[in-house]
Amino acid sequence: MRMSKLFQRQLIREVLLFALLAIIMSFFFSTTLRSRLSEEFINRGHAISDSIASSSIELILNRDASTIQSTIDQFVEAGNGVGYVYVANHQHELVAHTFVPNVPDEIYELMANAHDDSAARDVTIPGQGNFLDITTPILEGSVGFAHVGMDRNLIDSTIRSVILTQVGLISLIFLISAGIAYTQANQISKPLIRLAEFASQVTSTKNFSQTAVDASKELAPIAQRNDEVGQLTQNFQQMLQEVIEREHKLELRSLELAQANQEITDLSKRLKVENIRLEAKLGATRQQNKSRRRESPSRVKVEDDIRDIIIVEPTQNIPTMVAENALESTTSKSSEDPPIIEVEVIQQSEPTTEIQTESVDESPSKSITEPAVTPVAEPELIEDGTLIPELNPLDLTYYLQQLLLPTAYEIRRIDNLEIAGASTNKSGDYYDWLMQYGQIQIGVISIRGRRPVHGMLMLMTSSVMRTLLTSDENEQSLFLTSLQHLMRENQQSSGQSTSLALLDLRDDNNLALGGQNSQIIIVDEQSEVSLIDPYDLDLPVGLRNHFKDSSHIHFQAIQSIVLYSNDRSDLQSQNKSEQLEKIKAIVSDQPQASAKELSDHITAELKQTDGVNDFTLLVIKQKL
Amino acid sequence: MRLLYQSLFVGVSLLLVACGVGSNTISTPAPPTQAVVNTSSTLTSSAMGGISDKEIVLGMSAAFQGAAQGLGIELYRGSMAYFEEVNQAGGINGRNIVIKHYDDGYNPAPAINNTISLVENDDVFLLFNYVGTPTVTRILPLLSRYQDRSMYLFFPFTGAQPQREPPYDDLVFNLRASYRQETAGLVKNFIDLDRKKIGVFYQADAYGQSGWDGVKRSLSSFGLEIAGEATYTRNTPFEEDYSTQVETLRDAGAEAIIMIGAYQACAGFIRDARDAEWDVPIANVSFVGSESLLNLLSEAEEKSETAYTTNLVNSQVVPSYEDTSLPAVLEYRELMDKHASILPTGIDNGVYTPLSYSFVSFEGYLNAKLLVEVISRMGEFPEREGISTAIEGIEELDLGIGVPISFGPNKHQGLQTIYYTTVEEGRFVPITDWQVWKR
Repeated sequence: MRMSKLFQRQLIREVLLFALLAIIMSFFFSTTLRSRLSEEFINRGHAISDSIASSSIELILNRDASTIQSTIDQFVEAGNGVGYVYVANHQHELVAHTFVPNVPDEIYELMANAHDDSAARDVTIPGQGNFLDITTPILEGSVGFAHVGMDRNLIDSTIRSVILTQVGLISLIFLISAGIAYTQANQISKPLIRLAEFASQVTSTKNFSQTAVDASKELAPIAQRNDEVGQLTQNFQQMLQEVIEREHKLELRSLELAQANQEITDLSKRLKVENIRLEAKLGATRQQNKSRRRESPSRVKVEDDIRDIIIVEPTQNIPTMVAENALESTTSKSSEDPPIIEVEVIQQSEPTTEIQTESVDESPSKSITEPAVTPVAEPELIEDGTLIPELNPLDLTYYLQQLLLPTAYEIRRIDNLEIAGASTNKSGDYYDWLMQYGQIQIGVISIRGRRPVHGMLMLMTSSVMRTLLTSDENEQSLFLTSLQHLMRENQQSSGQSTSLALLDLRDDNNLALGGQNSQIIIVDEQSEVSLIDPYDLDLPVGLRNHFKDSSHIHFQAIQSIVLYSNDRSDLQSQNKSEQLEKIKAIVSDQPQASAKELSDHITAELKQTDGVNDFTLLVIKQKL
Repeated sequence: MRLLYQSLFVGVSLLLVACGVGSNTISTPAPPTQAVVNTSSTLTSSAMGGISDKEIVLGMSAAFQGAAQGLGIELYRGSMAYFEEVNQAGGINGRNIVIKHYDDGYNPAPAINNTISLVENDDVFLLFNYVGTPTVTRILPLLSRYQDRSMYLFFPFTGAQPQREPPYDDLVFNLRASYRQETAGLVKNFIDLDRKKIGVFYQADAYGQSGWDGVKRSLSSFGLEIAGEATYTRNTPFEEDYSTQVETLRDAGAEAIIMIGAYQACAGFIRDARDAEWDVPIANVSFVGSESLLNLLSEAEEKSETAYTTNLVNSQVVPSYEDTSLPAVLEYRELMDKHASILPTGIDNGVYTPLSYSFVSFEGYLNAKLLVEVISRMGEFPEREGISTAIEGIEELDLGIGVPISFGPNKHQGLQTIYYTTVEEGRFVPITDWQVWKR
């Protein structure tokens, strides 16, 4: 039988308590009893001795010893604690006695020392025990002495008997109490042990959900108890239910992640293939251009940049990204090109100033088609697996940036927002958004500089942001501090400043804004346009942890938001103000325009009117 | 009911007195007239005084169980052998003698209760053959209590003094000699043998104390004291260890031992003394139950091959039943043989083996013979009130033991003679030569 620890502790406590009780009571009763019985024995002994003494006068004087013996025998036979009786004559000689097997020497000594008055003396007779010898003189000792020995052993045995009875009763009460405690402890501990066992099973099992459900069912009777154990069980069941639900959510998330991973893997493979293919084509094109220039120097110079990224969905709902060379898409409409697909997100890059503009189609419009995608022919790799050496590193950086962009799957999940972005700098400008547990974080990053290193810095910054967000770093201070730390390092290492605008849209439609070196334009539902500088929000990145509270805006009251970042810190503030005013005007004048239309319009206006070609733009609108 | 009969008895008596019947009708056993006596007998005998037309009921309390059962049983058997013979011969004036007996286990308290029951409930004619000093000394006050009923105790099996001394001597009639006489004879004989240091082993009660007192008084008359003394508790069995008592007396330098006890304890002491190679002469008084003692020692002797039955002296208060020169002995043996199967009711349980002959049963026989003589002397209609007159009138009665028996108003003990026996050839025989124990 397994004894619960609860009962063990209770049992130890009870054993100690009852042992203490038994000791105290035994001591008290033995002391009291000894005192009372001694007193009683003395009184009784005196009474018997007096009785014998008074009845023995005639007997001693006129009768033989057997008559006296017959008298004293009666007192011994009657018990009453009388251990012995003897009568001595005035010469201190024994007349009658009750000693067996002989008269002890101690008695002869007592007899010899008897006086004319009553006395009580303790005497120990070897082999017979302790006695209280009570002497009564017969006729003041002139006839003799009557001695009665009260048996102190009887007192001891009486005390022992009482103590044993008492200990027995206490033991009985203890056993009953222990039994009750055992029952009660079992009533408490058994359900707890069951709970612990189920908890152990649940934590150790591979099939958590089923085990948890089984446990919850088996615990149902215990949960019906109307006490703390029942309450605990109910809480445990509730906890199991919550864990089951979370487990289900987690499984869903895992599936989604696995799916996303698969998409990324597929995308990566396709990108590699596409890069190789593009580089091959670019190489061929360059060769053709060289040939044409040799033939006709006025021919258009082939642009190195990659212009468009097209995101499509295959029939298996796995998004496929196809990079399409802008030049290819506009100038070469050959039959081997992939079918036209609808563009959902377009990132534009402005061609370098050296490029002949007539050969470049700046139109951002692309279409998205469902879902047919013609697989791109995979180009051949050289044996060592490296890319074709003619591939521009800046393009490669750009492609990598595109890889970080939200997938079509992610974009489709944003059912209440339109998002469109533009980045004019292939290397250092970038925008990004991320969905995380029902909230959307959107950022615009712009790093000044046009070399690959700036693109890499932007990637790093973007990666850090993503890492922080996906790791559910809700500590705003830490989030912003980490981000600012990175930006500062970037600035120190590259010598270029970093601009940043952040938007955090939560489940409750509360909007948090923040940033550095960026501007945010908000158009509310009354088409009122306001410009917000993150500095005005008193939110220099990393300095405050009230990211959300200080920039609190309810998103339902907003038509659109424009995050604008221009990394040209050397621009005159007046120019920047003019740019912003133009953006404000475009946004406020076209309340019905889609996010993409607004983005396109702003981009075109800034580039064509003001020649601004180094900015990052993101337009967010509520879907109507 | 008894009160009703008593009232009737008194009324009829008064009527008889009024009619001129002699005034000594009640006090004397002699029947006044047949008609009156018959009437009286018819009216009274069936319910009063332990006498009926057919029976004379005697009350007996004795040890029929326990360590002293041999005494009570053999005493009963001896008496009943004679009573049975009388009864078979027509009884006493047509009345059979019946013994209403109770076992007291040789303990005072049951003896008291038995006596009350015999007197109050059984309404016995008289009390007879009580066994033991501690029992008899305790019921003596009851005799005083029932003195108005003329309740007497006849021939108790004890030599103690209390019933031989006032205030109870008038209510008790003894046949046997006293312990004082027995112990005095033993002490004298040992002193004559130059064994002056006498130890006493005695029962720690009135019986033992009575014998102890007798030894002490006797030694005192010679200017001596008891050399050593040891005791045992009443009803201690033979199997008990008595070596402590043996050691006590041996250490006291006793040259002779006088034991005042019952046969089981005394046999145990003898066994342990002989086992300790102490061959001191050991004497027992008559109460011991000589044959029972001898049987125990003989059985032990056979087992251990140690001589337990030598150097034993037993004083007796009746002649040896081996002395066939005595008519009483011849008659006793004949009757014992004839009525050997008689046992007290409830005793024939296979535990006790009756003795063919013994001093105790012989004493019982003599008690019965003397009582029949007494009742016979009370006439055809014996009454309690006439008991003392009848027995006190016995003078020089020959019971066939070679010693005449006399009673009188101040003489309530019939025998004064002490007989000394020793063991020879497995039986107690009269001592012919004390000098074998001469120091």
